[in-house]
Amino acid sequence: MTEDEWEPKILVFCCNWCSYAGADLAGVARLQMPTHFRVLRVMCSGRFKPEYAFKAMEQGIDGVFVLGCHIGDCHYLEGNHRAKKRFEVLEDMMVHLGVEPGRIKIDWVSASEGVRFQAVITEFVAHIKELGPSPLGGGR
Amino acid sequence: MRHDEEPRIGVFVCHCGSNIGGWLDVPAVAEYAGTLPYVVHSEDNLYTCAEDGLAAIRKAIKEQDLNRVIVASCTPRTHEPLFQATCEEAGLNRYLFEFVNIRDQCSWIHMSEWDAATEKAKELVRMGVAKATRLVPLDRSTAPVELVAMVLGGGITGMTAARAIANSGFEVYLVERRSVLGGLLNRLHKIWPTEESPRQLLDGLEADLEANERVHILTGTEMVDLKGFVGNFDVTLMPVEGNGDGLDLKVGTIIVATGADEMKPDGLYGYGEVEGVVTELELETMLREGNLPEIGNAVFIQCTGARGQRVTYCSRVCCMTGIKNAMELRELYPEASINVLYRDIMAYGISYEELYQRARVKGVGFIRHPKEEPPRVETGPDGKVRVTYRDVILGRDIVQDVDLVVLSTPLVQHEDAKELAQMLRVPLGQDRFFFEAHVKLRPIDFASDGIFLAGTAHGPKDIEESIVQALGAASRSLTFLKAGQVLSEPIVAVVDEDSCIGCGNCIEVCPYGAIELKEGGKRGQVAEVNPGLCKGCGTCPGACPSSSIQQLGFTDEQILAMITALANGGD
Amino acid sequence: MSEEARGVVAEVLAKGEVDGVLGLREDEGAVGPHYFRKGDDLDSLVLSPKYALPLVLRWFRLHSPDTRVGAVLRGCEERALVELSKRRQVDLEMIEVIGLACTAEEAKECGCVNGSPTNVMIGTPTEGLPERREFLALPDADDGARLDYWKAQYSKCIKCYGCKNVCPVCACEVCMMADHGWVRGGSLPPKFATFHLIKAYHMADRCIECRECEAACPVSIPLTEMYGRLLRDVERRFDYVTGADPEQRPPLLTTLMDEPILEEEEEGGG
Repeated sequence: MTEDEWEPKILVFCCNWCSYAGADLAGVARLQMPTHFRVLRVMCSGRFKPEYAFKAMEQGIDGVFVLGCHIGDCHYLEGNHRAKKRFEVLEDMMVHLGVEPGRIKIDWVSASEGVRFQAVITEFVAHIKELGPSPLGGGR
Repeated sequence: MRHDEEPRIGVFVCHCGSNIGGWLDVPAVAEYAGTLPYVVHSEDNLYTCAEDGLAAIRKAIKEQDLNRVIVASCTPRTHEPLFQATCEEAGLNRYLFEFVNIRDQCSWIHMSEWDAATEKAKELVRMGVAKATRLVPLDRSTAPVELVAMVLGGGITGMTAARAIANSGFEVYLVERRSVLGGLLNRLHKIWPTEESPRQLLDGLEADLEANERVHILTGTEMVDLKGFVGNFDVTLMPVEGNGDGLDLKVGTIIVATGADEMKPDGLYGYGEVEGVVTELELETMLREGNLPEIGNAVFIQCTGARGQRVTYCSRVCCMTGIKNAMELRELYPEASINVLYRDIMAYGISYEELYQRARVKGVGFIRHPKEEPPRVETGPDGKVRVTYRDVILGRDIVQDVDLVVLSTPLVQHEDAKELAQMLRVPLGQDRFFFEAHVKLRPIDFASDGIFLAGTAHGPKDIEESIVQALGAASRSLTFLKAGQVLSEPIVAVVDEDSCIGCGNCIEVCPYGAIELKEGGKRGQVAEVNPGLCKGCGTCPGACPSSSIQQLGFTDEQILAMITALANGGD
Repeated sequence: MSEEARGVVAEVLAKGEVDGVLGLREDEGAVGPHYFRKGDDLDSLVLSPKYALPLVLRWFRLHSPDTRVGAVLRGCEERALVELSKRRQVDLEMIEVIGLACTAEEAKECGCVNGSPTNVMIGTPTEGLPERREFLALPDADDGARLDYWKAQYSKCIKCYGCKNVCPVCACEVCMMADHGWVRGGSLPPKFATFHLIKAYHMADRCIECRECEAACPVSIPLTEMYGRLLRDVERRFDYVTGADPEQRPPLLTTLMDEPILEEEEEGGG
């Protein structure tokens, strides 16, 4: 595929209780947003392991976004705390590696924040478009 | 961990009428699904959740010998249980079902991008097939339900719910942080349309509750801690005042009926600054106590603080409250001029429109003003209040000096609701009211099982609606109490004892203390999960450096397969 | 210094507070770990080359938990022992560290900044070690040169697993780097984003910078240039130093309440 035709491929981990419900709510409200992301549902953002980001980016996924409950609201008490801490290390690693840290991101969307889901997704997709194809994906 | 037979996957792609089919190419998605590995059957249905759609699933399982089923449709949050049950009816383990969300998270949010939305749906199905290929059958376990309910909030809603539960034969704790039951009704003068005193309603309820030995009324008490899950909540209650002893309870279900407050409109229309400006509830207190000043004229200002002024929503009860109290003043002071200043009147439902008409006939004035030009209130001469307002019909400003200005303010969530929401692990909505699991399909439930929602804690409601929802919440609660047991989801953590070295990372991140070390494995110690305590968050596999602990239903193998399916297919 | 060591070990054994001492032995030219007991001939006891004894100490917890064992360990090995203890692989209560101070020459060769063990019994601690590690200057990130640098380095990898095998804090029975679900098999060099970055992530809160992996790497990949930088990040963000306090919990296992993030991350553009 040529550079002109490139469209970003974005993986979004959503926790079942807050952000996945927020994503559904965005749908119920017919909030329109770019198509380039695919949601992978897990029960908690604490399920996310940074190793997934490596696996995804290595295979050509251009951005990885993890969405959980706001801190303090986690259905499982503290899963999002763990996710946040893992992300700190992951982001640092991206800097040292020379990959734009903005390709990976963690944020919080509650079950009632359909509008926020639309906003953070739209912004993330736009940012990945700006960055271009992942430099970690082979063959690109 | 692979299921031992070769996968035979059936994919059912739903049009959802035109909800999906109107925005992306459903037949193309179904056709594409048929080309994916291990997919032996694919079809599109007008409504997969309708009986003919479900019948098609059952038929295909039997005739095609399917051992995995995928439905690509609305959202698992509402429809996964239905399709899982359908698989079970056809003899397939319910955990061999995988849901692909192509409506809420695809067709509805990409309504002007037919091709891209269709491609996205295909990729989502491809990810679903990758996961389904690696699904294994799982079994749910049962846990007993503590046959006790707790109702938080002792207003009309909580009292009604508590009575209904007790009358059905179950213990119930009614927890109210104020010193008396009754909530906002204690401050009302009369209830419409029956025109009875709220005391009549409350006294009857209170007598019933006190006479029922299954009801434990705990006033002046609040919840300070909550642990556990549906069927087995551990609650800690403390007296609001003083240092009295706390009370630890085990309850099976919880109803949140904590009500709402009347907004105090400080700074709006002279409230708190101009003498003679009161809220509806303050007026009702004066009416009840009979200490109103002589009134020659009065003005009500509707939508004070609502519909964009302080909060965005319409509180829907304030119009009727304003009309009710305007009528009351009309009766008390037949000579007085009583005017209601409004943007729109919401006299919804069957009886309220009629009451609105009656108020007009009886001589209450209704004067409309534009949203952009709200009335102005200031101190007037001779102890009066000067109100200046735009009359849209006359097309000019009217200046009136009145004895009383009554502000109809919305019901608002309690200031400290966030604390309670965090304790309950349930969400608040944009307007800070408690947020239900689904507006249409689960309006009384929270997403978390065993916690239900009723009354004005959920949003502004009148008494009738609060009672209806209280009975609904009681009924939802009784569904669990009567069953006596809950089925627990088997998406728990499991340990590979051959590779676990007992480093304990999983133990340290488990929020439920569900993991311990036991003897075994190659290093003499391995992690062991107590599936009764594990709630299936999956934080432990996120912390395991050797992938030795996995979450059933969300294994690394399954997630990696989905990532790879997204990354590598379909270019 | 070996002579001094033999004397110290003999003294420790004579005192009888430990049942035996784990050290290195030279046997027909090969050096490996050996458990010396009272009365054993100590002439074969040697101090080099370095060999990760902490992992050997796991054996005692598993097979002979009541044995009190002395161990001749360098500073980095002692720190590795602390990390293994945090992960329940050794029992510090049953281990007496016989501290071995590296010579100035050895310290220099390793680029050591962390210094000697707590209780030096053999040798003399080297004074004037650099206070902080001097990292190589990495190329600029903006034009992709930094990533190109790493790609070039990692592409030298022949997947010998030397870095993993020699690491004194790699304690897993089954390694994700050897799991084809994580790292695609059958090709050289291995896909670096999984093979090397998974390792780097796992090192971020446990690497003790002994740099044995670099010494073992046959193609000289500067592995700890990444690990060491991550360690400094973890120290800055979570006030966490590896290998120091056995009671300090690795910050990736604690909550934000236990250990808040000290420095908010820079705004990523996203």
